[in-house]
Amino acid sequence: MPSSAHPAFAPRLILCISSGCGILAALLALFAVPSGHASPAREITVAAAADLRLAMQEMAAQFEKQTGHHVSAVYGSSGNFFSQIESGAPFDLFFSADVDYARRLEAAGRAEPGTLYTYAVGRIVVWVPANSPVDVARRGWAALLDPAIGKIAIANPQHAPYGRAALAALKSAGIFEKVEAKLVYGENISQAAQFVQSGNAQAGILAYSLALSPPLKDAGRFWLVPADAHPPLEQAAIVLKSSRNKEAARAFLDFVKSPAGRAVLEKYGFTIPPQPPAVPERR
Amino acid sequence: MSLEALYLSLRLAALVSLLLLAAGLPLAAWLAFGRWRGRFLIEAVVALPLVLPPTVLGFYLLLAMGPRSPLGRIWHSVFGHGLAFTFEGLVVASLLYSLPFTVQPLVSAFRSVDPKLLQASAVLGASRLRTFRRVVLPLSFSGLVTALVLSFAHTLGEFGVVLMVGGNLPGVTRTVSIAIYDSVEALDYAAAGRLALVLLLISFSALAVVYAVNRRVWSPWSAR
Amino acid sequence: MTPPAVSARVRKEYRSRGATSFLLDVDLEIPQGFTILFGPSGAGKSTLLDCIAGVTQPDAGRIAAGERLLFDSAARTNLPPQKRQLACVFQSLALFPHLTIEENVAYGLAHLPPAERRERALEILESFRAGHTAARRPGEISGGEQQRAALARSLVSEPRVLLLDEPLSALDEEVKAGIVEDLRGWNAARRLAILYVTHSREEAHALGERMIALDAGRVVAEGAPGEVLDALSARRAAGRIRS
Repeated sequence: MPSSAHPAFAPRLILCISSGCGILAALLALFAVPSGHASPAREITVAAAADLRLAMQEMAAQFEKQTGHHVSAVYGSSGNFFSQIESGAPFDLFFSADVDYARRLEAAGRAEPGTLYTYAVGRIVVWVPANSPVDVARRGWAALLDPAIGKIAIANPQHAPYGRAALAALKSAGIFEKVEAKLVYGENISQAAQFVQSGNAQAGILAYSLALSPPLKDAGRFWLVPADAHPPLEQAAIVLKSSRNKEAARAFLDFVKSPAGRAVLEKYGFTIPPQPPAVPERR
Repeated sequence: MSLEALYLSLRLAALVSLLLLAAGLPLAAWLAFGRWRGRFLIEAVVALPLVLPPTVLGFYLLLAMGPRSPLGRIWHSVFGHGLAFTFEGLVVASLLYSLPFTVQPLVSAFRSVDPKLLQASAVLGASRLRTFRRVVLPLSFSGLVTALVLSFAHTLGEFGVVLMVGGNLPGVTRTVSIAIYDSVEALDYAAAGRLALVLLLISFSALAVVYAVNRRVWSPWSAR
Repeated sequence: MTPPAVSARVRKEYRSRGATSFLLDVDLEIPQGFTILFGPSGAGKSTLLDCIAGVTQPDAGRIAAGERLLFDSAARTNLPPQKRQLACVFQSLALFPHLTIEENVAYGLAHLPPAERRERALEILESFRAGHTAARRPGEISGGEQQRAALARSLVSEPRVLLLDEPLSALDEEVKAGIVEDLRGWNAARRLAILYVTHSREEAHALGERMIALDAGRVVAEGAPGEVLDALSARRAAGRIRS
């Protein structure tokens, strides 16, 4: 008795065939995407600090509309990108969360001379989930001393700039010793945010830009830490010497420096540092 | 301080491999000798951590340990604190993560015991438990060693899950793999290299033991 | 009238060494003393023994040892092997490789204190002339010695029924004869019911008081060994039996 002829098998068979077709189609689509060599538009790859995600998406979209160049961005920890670029990772641009990494790459001859640009200064906030009983906006630092706050998530100060800033701010506020036992360390600022958002930590010291962006925006409240509580979180970008699309990469950097680019950065909580008057690049 | 991370990892791995052996024995025995036809489903669940990225497991665990999940609430009401960012949390995570490394060697060892010996034991009046204790276990010696050593080594090298639920607390949740990662991130390649070498040597020794036992280079009793 | 030591009515589909499947369909009684279960390989002898020992479950039937019901498909009774109080020596002997011969023999005496266990194990090993192997492991002794150890192990708990599945097939004639002699001597006073599976005419002649011939899952002859063997020869002459 052929089993496929049995009525009970028929629906399952159809399901199998249709899902099989679906998978096949998806695979074909995957391989059929043209690689776009014919188009004059270039594709540039940007390694960007995790806190830039939303601002970068918006800047990339505007830039693409203007120039037709496609920007694909990879987000991660700046220290990690630093090591990867040192080992020859094929990025065109590097937007570091810490100017220091950019300077070191420049010193090592990995950057196009003269392209280093401090695109923003980051700010930090004390963030609590929406259901927290602690009124963080009113109490500021004191909120962290509240017994309802069991764990405070920060980025790892050993290698994450936002972690260093959080630590410095806690020390300058004079409460580091009191909260030290409450601190837990995320691998980067995004993971610190995960810890709080998932409820495993009750507060976090996060990037202002993250607190303003969708997943966190509606999920909690924050208090903006004064800018002078920690050394400025200067964030800098460089065009990499190994880039094969230097013209397009420079064009994107110019866009970031332009009023349109600066407006996007400001919208997502970055302060634009005062620039030398001549915006045009020094070649 | 890097020694602290190494010691923490060794403690975690030892505890987890022993707990897993205790839990894995009955589970593996049931998988090897049970009669329920749906056992393959449980085997598939047990094997999941082999193929799931640690980040998936870590992500689920982070949610499960949080105050919005029943597990997180129960744990909190019993112990008065959350499970994430604690050594116990790492133990729970590692138990899940290393489960297949205990259960699979045990199951295959149990299955390779000659069924005639099990029948002989039963005909001689031994209960199933006594047969398991006196015949199956001793004849599965290499499987026991493999299970113990592999789960130990795998827990020792665990990274993704610890990263997701650990919180990187020195002496509590900063395991050796996290410490290595931190050193690399902080561009301290010398410290990373030292720790990595120690981890490499321990892992190599562990695997050498497994292969030696399975090749019967040494065995507590002579060949059959 | 005392009931037969074992009565077995068994129906079970089984596969012989090829891929052909047969229906084992027998109804037999085994009295005290030696009963030879005779037949070519693939006749269903081992399957029948496994059913009586409880390591295989019949499709249908009823098996009893004396008054004790071991299996009854109608009553949904199926005692596990450890509760059947039968002794059994498999073709492969199945000595535990990790235990010494003494530990092997004492294995079935778990209910006794250790000293007594040891004493009885050594005693029965002596009576099967294998006392010198007590401290060794199965891998370290000869095939004949392993055989004696396996017999001692199955008999040490003084069962009423002993099932032997071609236990001597791998031994040479001289060793075999010695063991057969010892087994006869051991049983002379005790009168166990021994069901002895073999396809060897010599063993059948030497041991049998009664003989049941099996072929392709059916009983084809039953009676005194001489008569049964004659009957089989006649059948073979008539070309109705596989050689």
